[in-house]
Amino acid sequence: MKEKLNLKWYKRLLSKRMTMLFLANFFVCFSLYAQQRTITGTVRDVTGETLVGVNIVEKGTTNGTASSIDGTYSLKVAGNNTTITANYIGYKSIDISVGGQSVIDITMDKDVLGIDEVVVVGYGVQKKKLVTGATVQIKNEEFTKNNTTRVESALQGLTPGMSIVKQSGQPGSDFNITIRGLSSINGNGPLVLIDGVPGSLSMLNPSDIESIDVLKDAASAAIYGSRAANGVILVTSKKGKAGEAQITYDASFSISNLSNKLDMLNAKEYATIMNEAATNENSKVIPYSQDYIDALGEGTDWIGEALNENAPSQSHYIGITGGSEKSTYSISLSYNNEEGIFNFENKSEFQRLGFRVNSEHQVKKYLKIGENLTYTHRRSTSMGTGNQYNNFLRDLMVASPLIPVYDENSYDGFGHAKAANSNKQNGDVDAQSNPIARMHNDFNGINKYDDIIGDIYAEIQILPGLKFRTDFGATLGFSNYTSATDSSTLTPYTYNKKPDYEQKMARTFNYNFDNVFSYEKDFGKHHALAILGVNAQDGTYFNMRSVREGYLQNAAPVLSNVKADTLVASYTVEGDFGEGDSRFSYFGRVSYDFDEKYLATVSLRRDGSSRFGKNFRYGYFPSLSAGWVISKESFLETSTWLDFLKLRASWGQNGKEPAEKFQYMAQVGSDDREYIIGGGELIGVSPILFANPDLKWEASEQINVGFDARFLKDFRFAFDWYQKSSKDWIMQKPVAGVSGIAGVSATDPYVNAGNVKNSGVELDLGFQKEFGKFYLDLSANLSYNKNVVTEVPDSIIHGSESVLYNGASEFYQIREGMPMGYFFGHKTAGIFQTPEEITNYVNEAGKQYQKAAKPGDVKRVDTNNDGLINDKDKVMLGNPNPDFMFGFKVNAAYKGFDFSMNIQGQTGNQIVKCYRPQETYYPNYTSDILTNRWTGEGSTNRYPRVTKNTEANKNWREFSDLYVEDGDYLKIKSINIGYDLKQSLLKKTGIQKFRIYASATNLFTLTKYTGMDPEIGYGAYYNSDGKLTDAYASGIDVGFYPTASTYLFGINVTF
Amino acid sequence: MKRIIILSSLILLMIGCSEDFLEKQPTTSSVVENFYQSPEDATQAITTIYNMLTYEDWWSKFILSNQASDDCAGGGGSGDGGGYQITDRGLTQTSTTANKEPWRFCYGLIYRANTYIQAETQIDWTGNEGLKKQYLAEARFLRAYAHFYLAQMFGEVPAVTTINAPDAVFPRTPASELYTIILDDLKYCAENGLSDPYSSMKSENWGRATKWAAEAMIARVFLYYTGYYNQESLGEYTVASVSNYIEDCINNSGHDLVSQYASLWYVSARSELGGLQYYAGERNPEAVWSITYDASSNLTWSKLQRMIGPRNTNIEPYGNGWGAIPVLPSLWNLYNDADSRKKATILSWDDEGIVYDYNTQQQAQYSGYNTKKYMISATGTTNEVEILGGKDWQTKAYEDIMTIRFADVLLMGAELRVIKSGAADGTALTYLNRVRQRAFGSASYNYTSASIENIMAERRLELACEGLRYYDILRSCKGDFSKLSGILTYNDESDGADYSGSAETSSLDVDGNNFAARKGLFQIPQSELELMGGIIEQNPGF
Repeated sequence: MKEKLNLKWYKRLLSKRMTMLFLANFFVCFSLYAQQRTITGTVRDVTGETLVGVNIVEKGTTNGTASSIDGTYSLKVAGNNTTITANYIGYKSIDISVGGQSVIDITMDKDVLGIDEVVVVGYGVQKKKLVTGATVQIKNEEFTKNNTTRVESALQGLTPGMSIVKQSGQPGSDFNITIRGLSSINGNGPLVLIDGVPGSLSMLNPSDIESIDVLKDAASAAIYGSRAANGVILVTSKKGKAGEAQITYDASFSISNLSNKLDMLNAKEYATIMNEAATNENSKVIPYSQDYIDALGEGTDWIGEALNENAPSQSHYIGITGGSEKSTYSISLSYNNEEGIFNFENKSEFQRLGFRVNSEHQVKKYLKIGENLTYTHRRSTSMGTGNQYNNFLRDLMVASPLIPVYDENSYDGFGHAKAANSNKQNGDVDAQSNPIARMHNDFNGINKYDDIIGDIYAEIQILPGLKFRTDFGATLGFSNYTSATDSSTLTPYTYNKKPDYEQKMARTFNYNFDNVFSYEKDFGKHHALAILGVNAQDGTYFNMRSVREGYLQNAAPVLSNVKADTLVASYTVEGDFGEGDSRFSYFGRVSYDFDEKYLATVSLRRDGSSRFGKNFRYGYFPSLSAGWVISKESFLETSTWLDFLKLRASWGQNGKEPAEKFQYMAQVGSDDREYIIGGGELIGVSPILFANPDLKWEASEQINVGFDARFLKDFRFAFDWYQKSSKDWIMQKPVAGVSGIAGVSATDPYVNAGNVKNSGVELDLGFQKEFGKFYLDLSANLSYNKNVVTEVPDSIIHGSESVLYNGASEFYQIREGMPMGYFFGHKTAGIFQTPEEITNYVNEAGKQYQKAAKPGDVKRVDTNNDGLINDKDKVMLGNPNPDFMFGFKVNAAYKGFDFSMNIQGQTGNQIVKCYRPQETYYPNYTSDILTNRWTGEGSTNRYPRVTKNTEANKNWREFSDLYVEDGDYLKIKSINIGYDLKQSLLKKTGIQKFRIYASATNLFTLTKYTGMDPEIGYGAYYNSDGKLTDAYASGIDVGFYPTASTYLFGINVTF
Repeated sequence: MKRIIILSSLILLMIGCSEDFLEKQPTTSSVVENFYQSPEDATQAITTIYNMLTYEDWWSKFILSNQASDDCAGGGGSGDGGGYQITDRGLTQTSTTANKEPWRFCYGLIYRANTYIQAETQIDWTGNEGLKKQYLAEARFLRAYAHFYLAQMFGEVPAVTTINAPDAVFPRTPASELYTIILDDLKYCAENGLSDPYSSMKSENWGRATKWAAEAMIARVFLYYTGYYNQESLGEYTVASVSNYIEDCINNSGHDLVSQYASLWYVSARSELGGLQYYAGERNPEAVWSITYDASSNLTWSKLQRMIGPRNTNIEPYGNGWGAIPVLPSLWNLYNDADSRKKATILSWDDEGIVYDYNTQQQAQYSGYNTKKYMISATGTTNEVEILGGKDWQTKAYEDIMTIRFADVLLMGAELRVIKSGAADGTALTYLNRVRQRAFGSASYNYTSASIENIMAERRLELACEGLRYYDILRSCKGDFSKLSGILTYNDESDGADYSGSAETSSLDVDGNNFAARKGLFQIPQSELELMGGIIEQNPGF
């Protein structure tokens, strides 16, 4: 019955439409035959320079062309009563009625204020002045100015409210992107769509990008519903333009260096401090004799040994764009190669090779088709970075300067720790392994990725105003990894008895299918745009890994050459393949404006996801927003200073999926469930996860109020206030051991719980003006965010232990009323200077607080005044989340010269620094210990006496504010200068543009932080079970591969 | 017409996506409803219960009960934070998660057993009825083992015999009820478990809990319950009925003592008998039931074995470990020099003339003695696990832990006979002297009377450092825990050992010699009490 009704409805709709289509066609054909004629002309800017690639379109049609290399154009138009529109990025568009003219020269005015800018919103574009949400568009010119090879670093500091921090300074490493504060314990990265296809910014070359739009508020992002809770980044790749082909070649070369080298103790200082530590603990044995110390020199400077000075990088890009009236294309090829500032045996390198093709064709009057296709190959070698394990930088800082780097008499040619005296009272401990030898043996992994991302689309003009767009996109990712870890014995306790060989590979395929109707209509001064669409996504994956221990039969370290040991045939072969995630969604949006004065948008998305059980498989994500262009009201229209003022407000809800698949489903598994019966291993199977059919979407709700203003012609100002509540995190709720499912036996069940509020303001101020031939563009942005956890199950989520060193206690967590991942521990009150001070440190009842302390030990505060110093006295010691982030940008140009500078910084955050494993005795110190340690009464109040770390007072082994430092910084991210050769000089060469440029990045950092780099991207890591752990943790420096400072030179030629 | 086709296909594209599109199934695990159908599934479900036994780690009962007893100190590393020394000094833990591991591992095992016991009814057993009985017997044996483990450590704990909601909580189960559940489970195994005697046991069944293991456990549980709670019997479990079980085990199991005590342990065999050829092997007649590990296995390795050796030093044949349970000088002094168990059990560095630089190796509570039982062995200065079992001694230790040894069975048999018929029981004396005579290699040290005192003294010597002593002390109290303070003391320098390598002895938060108030029980992990919402109160004295 229902079907019948529907069919009837279609029929009626179709017949009506058919009539109209027919009529429309008839008119078009008729007019073409009747009065077609050609107009020509030249396009120039106000200075008289010709402009290339200006789009000239007959208004209201798809008939158009683009100006050629000398600025001329030629266009067939329908007759005298028509109007042509000229459009050029960065210039005001201009309408000219044709009348009787056959030559129309066009002069275009720079659009300094961006009145006609069009920005990308989900599934479409919108005039910037009509946008009612909080979105930011960054154009190619802005982020290519920094000349970086990574889109993410190019975006740093450009958008208020968006934090971008590199996970490590290693070439090719990823970035943590957070928009408007931490909102979930399950990762905070935004959704990235490349021409509508979900992807990753790491695959792209900045030169291939036309623009990037960041949707920050919930209303703007709500059209992407279930994956939009952390904001959305829309990438639009460069498209071709009608006109003669343009070829651009860009090449740059750079050198990088460590900007801030840590000073460690040299050999003599080291031995002296180690002796002092032993003396301070009344050890029976003092490790180094005075004669031994006297004979020592500087010893090994491990960081210096591992440095790759003047690390070179290069980048090449060739792009070709062009097209005819009906077809346009854009093709590019790019390559870049970076070396890390620590690049021992080429183990910190990154290469990327990619090409991109897209084209668009008006194949029928009513049908446009096109495609985007990007292929990227990435290769990276990488030293261990990140957490305290497998971190080469930490190895360098820990290593004893007494060990020589190389020793031709040793079995492997590397230096190893030797006992300094006959009774072996030093050496032979873990911290005394040779980190360069470890680099040689261990960090041999090579990652290769091949990614293909693309889409093919068709756009059908069904009726005037009514369009249908279908877009099928896919990503295909291949990755492989190889490594060979050599056998070695660095100390009797740091060794690898047999070499390991590993090869693994993976393939993922995901498709994304969008079908969208859009209808746009003017009714007098009313203007409406509606879209209605469907999205389907699905995918498959395949992966395999094998590891073998043994020795090589032939030289090449590939698995087939490994001869396994006869006693133990140690093999690991594992693999998995299957279906990926599927999602199915409906969405719709209506935008309305009256006379471009009163604006409103509503949208709704319904998402279905295979990551949920039947009960909560679908989620609804609505949004509402409105705007009022006050400057259009009569009372302001005459204002002499206010050019534009728009007030806007929005509300919306977004969702977030579980971080992993099948979290709702009851499962049994066999991992780690074997037992030996009858001398052989039997496989065991038992439940690993309990069903929670009620698991639902994480929900994020956000209100945004703001305004955009332009005043005194040259100034612009944008303001936003927001409040975001992100709740129902999908997390594991600890259950009691009696349930039998907690801990090892199975996984705690997943539930929805928790809530964090982010609220803040964002300001963006700009000034842009041309003073004759001098052009100046200044902009500054500032954002403030406050992050407070308002609800947590059992009021606390514990952080991991052993983060700073083995056995270190928890020092960050999530707790109600506190920011996500805040630091907590003991507050200290300086150092005990005398025995009397210790005995006099008593509680109200007269009981001594720190009985075991000795002079030189840390004095802790009884913060809760209960007469005891214990875990209950641990208080908030810092917040890793900044209060303020700011960016400042200067662009200036004079004749052919241009200059730009980017400054970025943040304040109000703290960093926990721990370069030394505090559970042991022998690791080296940074040289500040020489002046900051306690050496006797009145010497200092900063750091305690040095010990073997077995002192009763646990000076460093109890987490306290000794570890916490302010992380405020201001960085000059980049300074760039360039020169464009005059076009008049180039005319005869056929070259349109010849530009040379130079830039310096990370030149200068203003900070009080004493570590290497205050910009620390420590964060989530995968634990031994491959599970994302503590995705909210940040601001932790356990030895962070610092960002390099780089000098770069390049040329850019267009012909 | 063309446009009609286009438009209608467009509209079709926008709808018509079936619900199946969003249905996905995992590949590396199964959905619970589809599992537990065939006897093969049953084998896997049983294996997973045994698997929980291998999680014994740092805080295993084996380690903790040795540390708490008068055999050993805590030990470990000076940087380990003192947890071990705290156990040694009175079972207090400042950490809220102390003792969480044994608590959770036991309830995890119980949960897996319950899962099997509930699911086995839906399995198609046609043609495998014998296996059904055998597996159920094993599942119940293991459940009883875990309940008993908890009951010894923590007293009256919740008995869990059903599958419950994840957030379900349980009150304490009164001792009589708890022990009845334990003994009923063991009785089922004694009546239905594998009953082939040792000599004819199929090799593929080695490692499984048998009828004989269940009989021995019944005796162990009964003796502990009646001793600790000062009871005569528990329902149908009387001295007479339990005696029958243990006699059956002694007479019909085929298990027996091996001829040389030192041959039972890998390291003892090497140091005392002169070579590995004298090692009796893991599957020896004396091992009534062992927790099994294997060198060839990547996954089932002994986590607790790595804890035991001297810290950071391999001196053939003594392999390194993490320095737990250093032996107290008092235990060394207790042995008669003629007793082969003295040196088979204890490594005295001075006596063997080996220099062990404990200060550099950061050994906490160095006493001069380590136990050889379950110590990993070394060849030259290489830990033998590296040679035999792969490359990392920490993750490949493989020696089976003999959880029930026939010597223990004989001594329990003697004890039950004496309780039943008095010290004059001739068979009891025979049992006792079988153990003693093996140790001395001659009858000249034999007892003349099988008094309870003699039996308990012999248990201490025979079973030292095997995790049984502490509970023998507790059950000997017969409910009067004031006796504990005479037996258990802090292990400080007053006992003649050198503790200078110990970590922060003065900063340990030890709140006094409180054994009596605590009735010898361990602290229930505070975090678990909180997760149970206060339905259970902490043990007294903490």
